[in-house]
Amino acid sequence: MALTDQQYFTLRRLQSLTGVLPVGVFLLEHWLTNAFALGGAAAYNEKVDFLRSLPYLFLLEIFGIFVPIAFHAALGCWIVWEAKFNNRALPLRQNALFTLQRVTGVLLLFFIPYHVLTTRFAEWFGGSTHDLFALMQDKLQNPLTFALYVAGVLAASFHFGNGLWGFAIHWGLLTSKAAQRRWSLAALLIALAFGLTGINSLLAFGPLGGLSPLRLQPAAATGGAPHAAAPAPSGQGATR
Amino acid sequence: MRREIVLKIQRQERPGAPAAWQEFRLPYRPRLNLIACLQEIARRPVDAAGRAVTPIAYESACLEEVCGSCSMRVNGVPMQACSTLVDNLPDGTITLEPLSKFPLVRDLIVDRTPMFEGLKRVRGWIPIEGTYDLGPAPRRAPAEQGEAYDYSRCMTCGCCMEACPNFSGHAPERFVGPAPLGQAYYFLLNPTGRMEEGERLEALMGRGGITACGNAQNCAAVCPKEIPLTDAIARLNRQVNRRWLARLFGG
Repeated sequence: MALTDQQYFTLRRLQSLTGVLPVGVFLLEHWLTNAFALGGAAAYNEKVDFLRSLPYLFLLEIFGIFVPIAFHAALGCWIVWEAKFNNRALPLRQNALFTLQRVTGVLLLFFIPYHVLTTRFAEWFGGSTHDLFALMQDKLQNPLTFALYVAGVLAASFHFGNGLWGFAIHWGLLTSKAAQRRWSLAALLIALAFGLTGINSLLAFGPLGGLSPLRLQPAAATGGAPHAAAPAPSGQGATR
Repeated sequence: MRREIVLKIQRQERPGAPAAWQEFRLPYRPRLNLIACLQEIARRPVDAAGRAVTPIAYESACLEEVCGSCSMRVNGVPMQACSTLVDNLPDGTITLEPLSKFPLVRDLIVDRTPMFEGLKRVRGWIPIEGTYDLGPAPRRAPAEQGEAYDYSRCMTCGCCMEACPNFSGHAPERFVGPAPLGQAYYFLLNPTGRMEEGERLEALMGRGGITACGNAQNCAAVCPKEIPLTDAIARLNRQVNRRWLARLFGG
């Protein structure tokens, strides 16, 4: 590739930026939406319908999600390709995180297309996305799929949390060892928070239900069957 | 407690020749460093099986961790053979291998030219000579002198380059590596060096420059002189970004 030095720099910095903006912001939105599954099918489907009703949805999906992720991943592949891992010889904490960041990136390279094709584009394969809660519930009943989703959630959580730390260094925010150590802990706590809440949302689709510390909706079903179709509070967006 | 020293050394006669392991046994003596072991073998080049072998080729000069020439991988980790004491290594066989990121010359000797090329690339020097008297250097704050001192200790041994997962002397265009970055920062700290700030930062912003750092942070961990290379890289990041943004929004 014949890139000028300036283009090279810009591409590398955009790779770093897209991981946070917009992909990281989208991840946060995605996690929040998923968490509505804790309130049951109606609450979850209502939020899904709201997202589907967003103006310029098509542009948001293309330029807010697809293009940035694809760009981040494409350059990420190049970054992974150029690395020569040496964790066996140098079993250091930061070196392990370096490798894990790349491993989770590659894992997501496979998980995200699988996830998107079987949910957003499930209709291509004869599925119905009318009731997304039911679709997810059905999919996650398979223990293998569930395990795959847990792996995907954990990979995305770590990649984002640890990526924030790398982002802060690449953008010149953390300029000393002490600051880097401090914020490395914060980044890993963010990763942990995303991981736990992400898995909790997955559990919400299962027979046991997730741990719901805040009652999202008083009307939502509780106890053993949180996913049972509950009456929507405002009457709209109920399971169709 | 070891009674004898068992050294497993990677031998290679010339570039491209097949590499092979040879084992050597030496009687234990306290406070031996690895160069002393290699000198011992050089005096009597006989391997553990009793076969006479060619003496091991290795580089060393100062024997006090100042010249940086005896870098090698000890049990897989790059370090200086002169300042590494056998007593401080875990019991059992000690493996010695040449640095893997640089072209091999023979046995434990590598050609560290890619690192020196990297120093040229980032303008790792200060122009102090002219056709006229440039006058005395500007005064510097003691705190700045203190910070610069850390980086002045670099002996271009190449340990950081070896430990870096993103650097390879076999493809140096991919990443210039931590040692030249540390020196770029060092010369940017210097008031005279700052006069070339633009050229130096531009060199860092190119392909294989500072953006190719992946924050594995092995460089600072293995540096025998404990140079805070990761601080240098982070601070350079701030400088190159400021320059990039200034150009993006300022013209």
